[in-house]
Amino acid sequence: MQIVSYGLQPRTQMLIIVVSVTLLGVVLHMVRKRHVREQYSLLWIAACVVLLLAAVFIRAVESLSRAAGIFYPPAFLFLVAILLIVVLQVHFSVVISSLKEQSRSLTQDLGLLQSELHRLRRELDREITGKPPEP
Amino acid sequence: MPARNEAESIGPTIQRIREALPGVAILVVSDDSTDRTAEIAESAGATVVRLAHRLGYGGAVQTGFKYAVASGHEYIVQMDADGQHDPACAAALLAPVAAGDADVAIGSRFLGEVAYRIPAARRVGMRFFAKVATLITGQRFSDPTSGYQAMNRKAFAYFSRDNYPSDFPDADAIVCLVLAGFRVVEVPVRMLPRLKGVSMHSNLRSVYYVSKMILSILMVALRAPRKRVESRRQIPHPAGQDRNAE
Repeated sequence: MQIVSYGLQPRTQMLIIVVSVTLLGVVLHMVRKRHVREQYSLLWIAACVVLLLAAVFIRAVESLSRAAGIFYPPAFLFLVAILLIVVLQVHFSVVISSLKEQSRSLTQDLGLLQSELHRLRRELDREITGKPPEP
Repeated sequence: MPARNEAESIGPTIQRIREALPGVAILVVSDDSTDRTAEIAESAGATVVRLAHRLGYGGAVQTGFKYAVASGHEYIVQMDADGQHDPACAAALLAPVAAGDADVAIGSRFLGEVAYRIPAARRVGMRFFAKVATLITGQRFSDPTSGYQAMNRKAFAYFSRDNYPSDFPDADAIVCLVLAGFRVVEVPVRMLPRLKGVSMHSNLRSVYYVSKMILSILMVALRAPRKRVESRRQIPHPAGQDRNAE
């Protein structure tokens, strides 16, 4: 089969396969070492798998690319990669927002509990020493 | 009373409150102050809640709401720690809420005598958000940024859950209240000049602030139907104290 000059060449294919397998390996290693939690690694793993599949079924990518009206298939791959990154970023924004919310709530409750503890301790002190409460 | 690094003004402010409103419980929420704000407030006779890291104005105020819910207060008055809010106006502010005519009373700086100057850019911004709030709620608001407010238990319990704008509550808080079915009124209050310390508003952040506020108001308006249902839930109130100045 004739390889068109602007299409995806086996070199490109190999490069993408190497990159995605390496990335997959790094992510899985980090999960094993508990640097990344399973639930946050899932999207990364999915992204690697999508990239890998795209590299293996390169002809499908080329026809998909043409179907989408993009006549330079590597650009289509970039588009897929960028979309995956966007999804990951949105996911992180959601996670950060909920963390922020949790930390706010914890900070408030901690402050309230400390204040309550302080008050109770003072009252207890008064009761033990038998001193009348301060005016 | 939310406070961040107000060591110089917190003492006199608490003193004024005690003179104007003898017998009220005073709560100061120190928003990770790096000076002696908390100690001074405590020795002046206020209950102090210290936040371990900075939550901002909204987060500090909401801590006060949570405290009031837990300690069983019926009414609260929220005011700034810098001494700009005249405690003598608190009774007038609380009156419509205590009488049951409103759930929230907002102290407006523009309805009554205007005793202080606001930079032109901020005045434009305040007018704009006042207009937006007026437009959405169909009720006239002149000063939605005011941090001088009186509320009943129903209102602050609503805000103590996750309904309070986290950053700096403004017109979005009012729109949120009105859309949730609370009765909000404005009461004229007198403003005093700042005692000491630096105002938290700076011009640098104003672009961010204006865009964030527009988004926030929009979202509050879009979320409205779900919130209206939530607000119907009955709030348990333990018997106890009847009044509280925050």
